[in-house]
Amino acid sequence: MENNIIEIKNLKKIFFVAENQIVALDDINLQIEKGSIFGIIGLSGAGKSTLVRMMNYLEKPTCGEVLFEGMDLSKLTEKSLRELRKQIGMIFQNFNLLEQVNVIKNVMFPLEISHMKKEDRIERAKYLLKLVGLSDKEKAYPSQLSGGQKQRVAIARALATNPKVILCDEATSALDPKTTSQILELLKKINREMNVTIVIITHQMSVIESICDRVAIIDNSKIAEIGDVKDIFKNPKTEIGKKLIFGNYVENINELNLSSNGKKIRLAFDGTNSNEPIISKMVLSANSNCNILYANAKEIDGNVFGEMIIELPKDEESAEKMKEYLKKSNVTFWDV
Amino acid sequence: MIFLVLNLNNIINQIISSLDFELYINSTIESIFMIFTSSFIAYLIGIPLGVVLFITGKDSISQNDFLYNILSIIVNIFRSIPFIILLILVMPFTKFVVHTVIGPSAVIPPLVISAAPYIARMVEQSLCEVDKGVIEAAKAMGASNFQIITKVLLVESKPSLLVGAAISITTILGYSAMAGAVGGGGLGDVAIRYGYHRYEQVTMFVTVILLLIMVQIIQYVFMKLAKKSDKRIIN
Repeated sequence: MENNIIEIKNLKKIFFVAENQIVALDDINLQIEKGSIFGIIGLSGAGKSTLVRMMNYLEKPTCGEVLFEGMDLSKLTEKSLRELRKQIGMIFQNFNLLEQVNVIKNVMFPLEISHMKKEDRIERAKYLLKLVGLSDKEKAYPSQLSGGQKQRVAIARALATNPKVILCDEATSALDPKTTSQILELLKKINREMNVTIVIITHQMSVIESICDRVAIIDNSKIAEIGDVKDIFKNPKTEIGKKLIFGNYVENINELNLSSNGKKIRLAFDGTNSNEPIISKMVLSANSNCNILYANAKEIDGNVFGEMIIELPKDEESAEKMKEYLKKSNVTFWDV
Repeated sequence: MIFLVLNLNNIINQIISSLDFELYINSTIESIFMIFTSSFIAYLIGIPLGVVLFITGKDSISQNDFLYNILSIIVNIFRSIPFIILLILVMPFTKFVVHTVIGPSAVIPPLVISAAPYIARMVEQSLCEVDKGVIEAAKAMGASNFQIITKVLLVESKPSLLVGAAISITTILGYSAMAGAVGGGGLGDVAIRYGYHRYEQVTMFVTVILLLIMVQIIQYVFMKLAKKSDKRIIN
């Protein structure tokens, strides 16, 4: 219980647009453990950006509670809320740097707000810029930087007040894959070395996959699934989970349908039996052929996770034998 | 043909000899005094007013529909009164403030009253151009509304405010020329008294040229400042 830095209970958010009520979030319950990297994923419009803004009360919930270190944010005055926000850094998709001031002044901005002495501000900003690898850009203006550099400045700025948490709202969505992985590496480093809890909002499963410990999948304003990244990847239970994890999975199936009409199953490999020749053994056990239609594997935290779609033999008996073998070997599978 | 050239030469000489340089210099100085004093005071009122309009506006940092609507109506009322009418309308007030209703000083109160609401709208518009994301970021960092105004809004909108200043000051210049109608002094006064009442076309022409030069200078200087101060442009 005390290990949770952020806890959300029965949260609901309704937006009133003209005469209409739009339910942005409903029945949200989640806990974010201190020192972890927590991912929130969903398609655009799912309500994830609203959710992250509840965590620093930029948006106030219609009902439900948001607890920061056990403290109910709705009980805080405006002034203490502002003080609390200094413990929660935030970075954005569009970086949101001050365009008219240079890099070091951007990093010093939160310290200026906190009335830190000027010499101390400069010293701290220089330290942070070194940490994010931009010491040589102190005097540059944001317009002179690349997207990745801008996000580094934003990260330095978010770290200025020594926050306990950093909220990342689609922080890598405007960046190319290479820059994305560099920024994620930096966030990982900050999480490990400075013990800062990180909350990541994204629509890219690859982001969750590469740095998150736990993940919540948001769909239609609700949490569809929540759990350890490894478990969710191994066995996504919901349609949206499968869609997000296996990307173009659905489209693939449709394409494959054209060329085959037999019974198909989907296998999920969780990395526990990657040393075993499962498919060969399955084929031998039934003494019949199967057709591999699709295969995909990815490495998460040293374990290989994968999925495969195979077409079973037409004759029922062999098909059953294969399924039995898979069951015996503890491979998760289902009909598609 | 030769006759024509000689005649033209004659006309030019006539114009130059008829020019009353002292009159032009004095009235130009009067105009400059009116324009810059009233612009300065109008900005002292217009900036806070524009800021309040912006922050109380819809979805802004301190939305207040009641205050916004009241201020908006007041601003619109003053902006809809033609300056020449306002000039006469506020005479009692002018008399109370500067103890006279003629001369350059007497034009300053009506100029300020007319320009401040105009400037307030220009400022409001400039602040609207500030990226909402940057304001949100400042909020997320725990900035108070006052800090957002002084350290984000006014800093980020500086180039746009300078462009607005070029337009506002030019407008004030136009208004100040109208002050001639009530003996307000300055170039406008000269244009009306000499050019219009006495039908001295040359004088009229020269004052127009002088006004034009002033507009050009104001426009050029402020645009240059705006461009120079804008760090979004990589020089």
